[in-house]
Amino acid sequence: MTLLQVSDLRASYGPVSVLHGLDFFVDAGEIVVLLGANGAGKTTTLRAVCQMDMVSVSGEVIFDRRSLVGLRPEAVVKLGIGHVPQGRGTFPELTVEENLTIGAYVRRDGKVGDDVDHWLEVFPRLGDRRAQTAGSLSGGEQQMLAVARALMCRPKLLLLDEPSLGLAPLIIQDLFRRFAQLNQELGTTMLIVEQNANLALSIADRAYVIETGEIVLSGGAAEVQSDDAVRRAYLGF
Amino acid sequence: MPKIIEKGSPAHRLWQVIGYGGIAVLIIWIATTQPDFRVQRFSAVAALAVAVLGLNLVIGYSGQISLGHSAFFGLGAYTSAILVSDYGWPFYATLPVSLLFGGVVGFIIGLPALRIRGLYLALVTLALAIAFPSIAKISQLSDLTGGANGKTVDSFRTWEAPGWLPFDVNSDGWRFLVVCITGAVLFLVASNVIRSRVGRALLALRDNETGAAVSGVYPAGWKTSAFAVSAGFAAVGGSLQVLAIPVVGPDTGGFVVAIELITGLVIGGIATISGAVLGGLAIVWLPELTKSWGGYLPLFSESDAPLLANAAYGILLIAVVFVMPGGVVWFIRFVRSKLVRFQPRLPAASSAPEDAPVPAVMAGTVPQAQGGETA
Amino acid sequence: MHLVLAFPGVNDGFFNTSFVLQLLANGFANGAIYALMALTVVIIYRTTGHLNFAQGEMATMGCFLVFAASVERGIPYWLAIPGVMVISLLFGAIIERGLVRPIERRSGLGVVILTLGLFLILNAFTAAIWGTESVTATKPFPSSPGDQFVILDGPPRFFVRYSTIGIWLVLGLVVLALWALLQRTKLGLAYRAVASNRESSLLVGIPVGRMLMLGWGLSAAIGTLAAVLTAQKAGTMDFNLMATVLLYGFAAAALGGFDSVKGAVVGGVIVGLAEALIPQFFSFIGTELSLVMALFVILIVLLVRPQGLFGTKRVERV
Repeated sequence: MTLLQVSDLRASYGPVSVLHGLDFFVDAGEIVVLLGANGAGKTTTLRAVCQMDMVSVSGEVIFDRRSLVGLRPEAVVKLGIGHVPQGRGTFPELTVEENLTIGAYVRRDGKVGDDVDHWLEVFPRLGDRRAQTAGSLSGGEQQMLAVARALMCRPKLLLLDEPSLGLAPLIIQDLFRRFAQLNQELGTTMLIVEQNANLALSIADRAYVIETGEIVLSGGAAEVQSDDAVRRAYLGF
Repeated sequence: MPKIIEKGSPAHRLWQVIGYGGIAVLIIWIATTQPDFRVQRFSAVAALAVAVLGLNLVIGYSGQISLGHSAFFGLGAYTSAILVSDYGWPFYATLPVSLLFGGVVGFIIGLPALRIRGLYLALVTLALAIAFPSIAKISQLSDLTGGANGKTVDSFRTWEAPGWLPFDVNSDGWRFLVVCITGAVLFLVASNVIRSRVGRALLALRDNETGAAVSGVYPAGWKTSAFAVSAGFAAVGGSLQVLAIPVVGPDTGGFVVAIELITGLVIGGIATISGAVLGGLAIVWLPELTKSWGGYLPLFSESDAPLLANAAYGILLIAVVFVMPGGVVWFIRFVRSKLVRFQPRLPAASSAPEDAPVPAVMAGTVPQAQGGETA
Repeated sequence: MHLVLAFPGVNDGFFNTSFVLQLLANGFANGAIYALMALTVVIIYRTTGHLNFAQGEMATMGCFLVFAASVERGIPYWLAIPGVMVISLLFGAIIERGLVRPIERRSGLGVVILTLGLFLILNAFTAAIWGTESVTATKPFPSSPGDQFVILDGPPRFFVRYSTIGIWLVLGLVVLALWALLQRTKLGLAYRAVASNRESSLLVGIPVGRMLMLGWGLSAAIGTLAAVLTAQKAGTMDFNLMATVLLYGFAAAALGGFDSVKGAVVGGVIVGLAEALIPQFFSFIGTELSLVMALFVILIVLLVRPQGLFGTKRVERV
């Protein structure tokens, strides 16, 4: 079933229009990759879906049969979307544990503590540092923390904005392996925005390519990966 | 449909002559016909306008906040007062001293300010304004500064207009003219600086520091210099003020004046030259206006006039920030642009319309037949 | 003009224990109030990066409301003070939502101008409503001449007034309550999250706008409390009650670090003690110049170590 359906999405920062009518969808349980160069509009797309304040959004964004356009960002989170922003977006002054706890802000059940412990186990490097401030962690650890934090609200859809940015290759491999694992074990649907195309495509089901605010290519991951234009532009061939 | 006038054209020149000429006539009229107390007020307007101009250099053009320019204003006033009344200097000679002194102190304050962010600069300069009266009252310095009582410069009151003037003015009127002429010179200098490379560098710095640095405009030197120059301007303003109203006291450089300068700047228009004059007018005449309203408003009594002035300043500040962030000058220009627009002279359009791209700035002037986009 | 060297100016009475203790006690009491004001500065600064130059006037107005309720109408303090604090909280929240929020998106300078304008308006209105004359102060703590603990008999005596102890207690309670709120509640965690990373707070579902309103509201409430205590200590109050106190609060916040609660308390105490002690060492510094001293504290701290004693590095210009 289609979890996220986006039609004719237009977004702008003030007078500057960045997205000129995007159409894409994400089915439940899928990993979908959005490829694009710098400035193509990838981050804007994610922000537009989440209805963040700095972007003005028009078009249709249907999530789990609810329309998102015009909702407050808090409401979007409550509906079940987790967002790992570009650059990690951890809370540097809060401890690892607090980062995770606050990730579950919208939840009202009492199991938050259990989840915190769970993720600290799943990511042992975080577990070792549970009382350290997030700002003192390495890039890779912060990325894991950011992902775990986003998962704390038990989202149906996880948005990831360039998770590989600034990380060493080995770390990136480990990271994407975990993404695939989460997708398999938890069934978490993922929409991953990336410049580092190869690795992302290798774990994805489908992919879109976005250029200057428009989708120029879409298809199965393998299909997109073997497309000549994509290979030249994004895969370094 | 606004009428387009090319800059540098005879029509433009005529407009300028009427404008500036009108102001000159107005100034002479004030000097010759108005009663002393009112002439003094207008002198204060001119002096404050110079100080506001200085403040504008710092806030409007180089993007730093200073809540304490009154300290430089007071410094200049004291400098001139002391040099003239205690050491017998001629007034004009004190102006460069004032400028220099203000500039040096401004440099000293501005240099370390580079290390701290805008808001902190606001705090430090505010501290300066609040400290000034206390410093002026230091008993050890009171021989020089007159302590809490300040100084009066009686010799100014004996100034007489020179014989070669085609019209008759008394002492206050003549000093008013001197203040205006000095102010006009400074405005001219400022105006030219702003339009020059220096001005553009400052604006670049204000809007995007990293970008400016990459273009070779190094923040440190420019910002400090801007601060120093603006402090110098404020100091000269203070000197002019003491010429017009020959009294200076510890509060001349204090918090109230600092607020007045900011208010004048914001109301007149940040990053405009002419706004400084409007600002000066606002500072001086607002309390006069509110005095007469004193009795009519429910909460305020007659004697609360200075309070009402403060309340009015406050309301105006907030209103301007919301409604007219560019100040009154911006608003005037906006209205004027509906009637008349001044365009720089443009190179002749090429014969083949497709060659020349249509820049947005020409949107209002390109004949519709070209089919260009109207911005 | 001649400079007076420091040590010849030392007050001779300085070497008397009782005198010194009295000075310290006084300094601590003032310090407690400065600490409270510094807290108001820090609470707003942490989440918004703004300084509220009108905080003092808001506090003064709150104090006058307490005055109107308690001194004029006889409502007991334990009712009036919390009541007015709630009103202050609402007022602060409304200011944030209605005036600051629309402007801060456009320009940071605009917010500075805004709070300056607010300063002028509130100052004028307080004077308009209650007059410019001094009135007897609000005195929640008993303050007749006998209400004190005499610790060392004279001369000079060292005594600690009940009200002084009261002020310390209030500071302690406020700090404790604030600590508990920030470190032990979900709301507090959310608040700290907003202070740490506003964008991520949005992504996690925190209603950031409401947190900002809370910050301004809390500041206003604590400010009112500080004003009431200031009035108690001074004995009389007028519409300029908090103008200088706010400045000392800024100095304390600068010293302690603009985004540190601990720093606010430590900074406040240091400023209070400095104000009490320094004039004793340098006799040419009268009370006028102790204000200048506060200002030099600000200047020097910001130049030498902008993040103060306990603030984070982020506070400094990059």
